[in-house]
Amino acid sequence: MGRLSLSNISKKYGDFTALHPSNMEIADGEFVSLLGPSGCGKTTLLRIIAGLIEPSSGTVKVDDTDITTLPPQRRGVGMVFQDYALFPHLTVSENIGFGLKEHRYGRAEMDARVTELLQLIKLPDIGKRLPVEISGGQQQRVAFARAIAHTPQILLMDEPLGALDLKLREAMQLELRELQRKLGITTVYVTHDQSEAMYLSNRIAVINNGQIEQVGTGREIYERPASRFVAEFVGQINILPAEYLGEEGDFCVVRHQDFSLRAVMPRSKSQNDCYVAIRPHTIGIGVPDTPTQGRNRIEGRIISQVFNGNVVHVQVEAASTIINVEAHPSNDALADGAPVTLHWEPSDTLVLET
Amino acid sequence: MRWGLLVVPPLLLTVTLLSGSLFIFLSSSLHEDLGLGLLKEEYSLYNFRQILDYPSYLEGFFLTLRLSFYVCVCTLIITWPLSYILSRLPPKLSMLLVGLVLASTFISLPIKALGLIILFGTDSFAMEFLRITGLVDEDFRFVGSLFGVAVGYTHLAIGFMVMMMFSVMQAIPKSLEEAARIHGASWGRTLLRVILPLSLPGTISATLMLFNLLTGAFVSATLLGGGKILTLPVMIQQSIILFNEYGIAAALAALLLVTVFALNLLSVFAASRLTPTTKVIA
Repeated sequence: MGRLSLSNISKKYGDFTALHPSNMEIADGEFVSLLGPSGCGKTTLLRIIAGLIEPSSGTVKVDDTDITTLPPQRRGVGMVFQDYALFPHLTVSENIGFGLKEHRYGRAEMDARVTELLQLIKLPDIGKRLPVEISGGQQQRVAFARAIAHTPQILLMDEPLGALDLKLREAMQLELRELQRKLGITTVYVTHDQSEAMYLSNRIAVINNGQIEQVGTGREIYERPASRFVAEFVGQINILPAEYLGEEGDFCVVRHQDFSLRAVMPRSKSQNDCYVAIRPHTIGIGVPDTPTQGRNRIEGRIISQVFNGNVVHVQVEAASTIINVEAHPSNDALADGAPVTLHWEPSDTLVLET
Repeated sequence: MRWGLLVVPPLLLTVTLLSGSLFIFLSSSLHEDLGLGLLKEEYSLYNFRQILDYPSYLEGFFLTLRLSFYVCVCTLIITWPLSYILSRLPPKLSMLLVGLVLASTFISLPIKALGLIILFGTDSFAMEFLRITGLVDEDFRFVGSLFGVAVGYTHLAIGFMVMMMFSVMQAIPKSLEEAARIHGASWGRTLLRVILPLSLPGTISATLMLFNLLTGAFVSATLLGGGKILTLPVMIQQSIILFNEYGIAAALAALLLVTVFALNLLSVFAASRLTPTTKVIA
């Protein structure tokens, strides 16, 4: 079993707070990504779980066992490093067997396990080679095999696919996902790539400035971002300053300039100044005075359009702000400088406080 | 390509000076001394026969090798862990400390020797300590003892060794240690299974360079040996300065040169058999 609980974990370096007190529960077998820009504290959190960094406060527990003060080698974790950190003086087999030897596996048992792992990563014939003699993708897989060899309860991965080119990265994502589901190992994965996080994870924790801003499924953080940062970091979004006016039925009403818009009720409301956020692909674009039946609408004028295959990226100047819209290429409202009506569902309209 | 030509003049100068002086002393080792710095015309192996006939020459020769070897071992024991720790300190602190080591290394040898002579003066705290612990007896004198020369050698060797070993240790990525720790190795096992094998090629070459340096060192041996510790370089210096016997001095130098060169070749060969991963680290 490998249920991981982090409570009140924080890390300070002098006056600098790398990680504010954070809490998280990760279920057994769950794949959780820590997503955020570089320097946000996601790697700090991962290294605290690994035991490589001592937290300034809080506890790390695996299945109710407090491991906060245990040294790394006694935590029952495995880790894939960003630079793979394969031992250059050991062969691939010796690398995979490193942890097995430290965990006192017998010779025969160790050989069997290494062979099994080489099969698992689909590289049965490279056992005798040195890390410098295999490709980046192969090194990545060997690092993975080494990390899971001693059957740890928790697998930690620190941007393991960052050094691979796009094609290989996509192939490795698929493979990682399958392997993790097959092994059912609790996994914490650090990345700054939101699509990678969405593809691999059961849940994503979005981290910014040392603070966990939101934890949720990919869908939750995309469709119902908890903060302006999450909304902007995960996918494209238009953010408009607005004023909160009040509730109206299932929705709330906000005003952006002269436009009154209906939006999804925010989770909490403490002040009247807020932002309204709309994803570009949820916005419809039509000729002026298109009937819009209860949808939000703003009048504007097209200032630029860029054709990109299946969509046209359109910039519309409306009420002195620029709104980005993804339109279908066949849309007959698209003409440079043409006045247009933008319209979208109130349920696609989010109110964010910060 | 054209910039590469700039290397040619200094290269020519270095090679000429090196091979010229080598040629001169190697050829003078084949001429018998006539006294007053004069050499016989005809070639002979007289000087080398002298070395074999008089035990003091061979004693000096083996003393030099033994002393250099022991000092190498002591220096390694001190600097291997020291360099590792320095390389793992926060960058600013480690640069400061390595800088201090560097600065102290550039202090001239006579001044270092003088410092040691004062430090180990007859009534000094250090000597008192050695006497109380029974390591030396009452009438032991630091200057003129083999111990004194060995301390002097180690003193100059530490700075030299830290400079080289620091870069060896720094070249070992920290993530390798972390990987070892996470996958089950204790701190000690990590040193043994990761740091030691990865630092081995660099350590061997640094130690060889130190050994070469020590076999030729004579300032510390002269000043701290007080004329009693006759290593080969001291004998060579005395032959030239005191006795004006260039032939025998040249023969001793040739012996030292050839032996050290052979030992180097042998160790490089042994090391390449021992560590097949030397290439990988480079």
